[in-house]
Amino acid sequence: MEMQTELNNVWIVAVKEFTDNVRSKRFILIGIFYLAIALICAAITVYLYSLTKGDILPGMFTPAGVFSFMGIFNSILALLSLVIAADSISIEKKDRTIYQLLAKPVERCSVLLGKFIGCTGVVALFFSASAVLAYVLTIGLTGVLPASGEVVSVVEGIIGMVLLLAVYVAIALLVSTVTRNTLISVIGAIMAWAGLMFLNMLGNIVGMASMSGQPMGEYPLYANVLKWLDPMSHNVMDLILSGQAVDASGLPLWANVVILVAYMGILLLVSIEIFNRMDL
Amino acid sequence: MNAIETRGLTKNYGSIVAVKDLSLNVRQGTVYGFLGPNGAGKSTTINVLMGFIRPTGGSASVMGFDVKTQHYEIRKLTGYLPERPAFYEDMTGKGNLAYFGRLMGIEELDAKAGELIRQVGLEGRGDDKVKAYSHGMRQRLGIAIALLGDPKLLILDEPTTGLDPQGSHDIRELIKKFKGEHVTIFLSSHILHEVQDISDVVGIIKNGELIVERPISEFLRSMEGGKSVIQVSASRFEDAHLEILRKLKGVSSVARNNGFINVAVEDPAIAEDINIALVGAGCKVRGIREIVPTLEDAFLKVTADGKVEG
Repeated sequence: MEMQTELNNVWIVAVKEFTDNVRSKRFILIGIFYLAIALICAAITVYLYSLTKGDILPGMFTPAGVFSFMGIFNSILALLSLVIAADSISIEKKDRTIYQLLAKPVERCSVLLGKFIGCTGVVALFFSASAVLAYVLTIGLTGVLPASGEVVSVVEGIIGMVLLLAVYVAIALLVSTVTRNTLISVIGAIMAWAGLMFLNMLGNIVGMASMSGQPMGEYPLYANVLKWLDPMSHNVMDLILSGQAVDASGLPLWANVVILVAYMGILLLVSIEIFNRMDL
Repeated sequence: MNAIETRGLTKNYGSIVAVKDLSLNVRQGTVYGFLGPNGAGKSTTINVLMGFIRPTGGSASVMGFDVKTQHYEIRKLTGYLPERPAFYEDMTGKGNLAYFGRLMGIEELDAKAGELIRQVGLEGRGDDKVKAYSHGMRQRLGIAIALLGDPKLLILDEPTTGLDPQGSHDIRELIKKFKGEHVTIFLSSHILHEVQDISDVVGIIKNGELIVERPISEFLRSMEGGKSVIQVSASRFEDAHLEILRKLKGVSSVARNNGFINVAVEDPAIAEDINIALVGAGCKVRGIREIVPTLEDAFLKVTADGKVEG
């Protein structure tokens, strides 16, 4: 195996995955949803600004506030990321194109990484387009220009959110690797999404129960670990835009980024190992 | 070096033995007809050779490379047509060729795709989406994809299944053309006259075990105990005529068969002596011909018996 050839193969598979997604009906449906989120969040932000602008001190309102409303939809965006990637491998098995693909000199890990990059590219396109649209609309309709350095924070925040959504793409790829049926892949990915949310809730419940009578106390480690298993608990975009030093669990920004990257890496490594050992 | 070589190859699915102790020898430059009843283990064997599944035991090499560890090298040298070739339906025939060609690192891909489209008889349809292709066109596209990268070994799994007679003929002619270009062809097929027409060597697998691996001509002769059979037709045979034939040098046995006489001989050239002897004895001979057993007869016999003489 030559590294340059395999990198080229990863790119070829990624471009095809991206192009296939962009040309699919699913892309239009999910695109409409993202557009709606951008418009709704911008509308709410502008409406609230118009109601309260007399009460807000100059400099208190920033157009980046639109992202706090977009954050409400984070779980749904995670779900959509799962749906985009859930059938990427299983559809090749179901349609038997995997036999044509793997009969060529291409490593299985290159196929998987190509699919990951392609799907993450689609998710990044959706989110960044939606976020930029919401941000620009908010600036245009409120007439409030971003403060110095805010645009950089917004760009960093968007990158952070794409990183978070990429973890969900990796989860979907793992599910897709172990399934042969596209419907089961999607159902499996949704179950994984629900399971992770449940762990987050469980962490909060256990954490709160453990500190009864001490409302200012901290969650015990096991409760935090349960929470941290849900990628959504590492919302780096919120941290970047709010400017807070640590999140609710006490983790700094860098630690959340490291956890997300490690999470994604482990999921991809597990998927590659399973795919490599799997009989087609 | 053999193009394909397996030694004691075994593949189990739980308690089910799909391939058992299989030892194949496919010489370079030959066409190897790989036959067997449904479920005999043909596709499992091919899947192991292509690295799609891992063998449970034994070893296998393709073009000198180990199937367990060197499938990347194997795929560089091997073209593969799956039993039911599948494609990206929303892409055109040329689009599919281009995608797989890029993965093979083929330069001047447009020219290569155009040449292959023409070679397999898909001129004028290469820009159509695959979902509009007939079964025959899909088989042709599958062969074109298998031929990308100028393979040294072609593994064809049921290449003419479901094709009309013209389509089957065209594919057979294409395979013969590659036979002439010293490409090794491993052909799995149910269509026995096709295998007989194209192949040099036949391997028959039954219940996962190889029961025959021989040159086709040798294999067919072995069906008659290594002897040729001359069939004689005449208006009437007397017992005396049979006695005359039995006394002829080189005749092993003589038997009546549905109004004919079948004469088992060491050498089919003795047919002329048979004719002279019968005519000399007053028998009005209508015709003499050598009976050549078909691969179908032989296949049915060995797959029923599970073994072959000689």
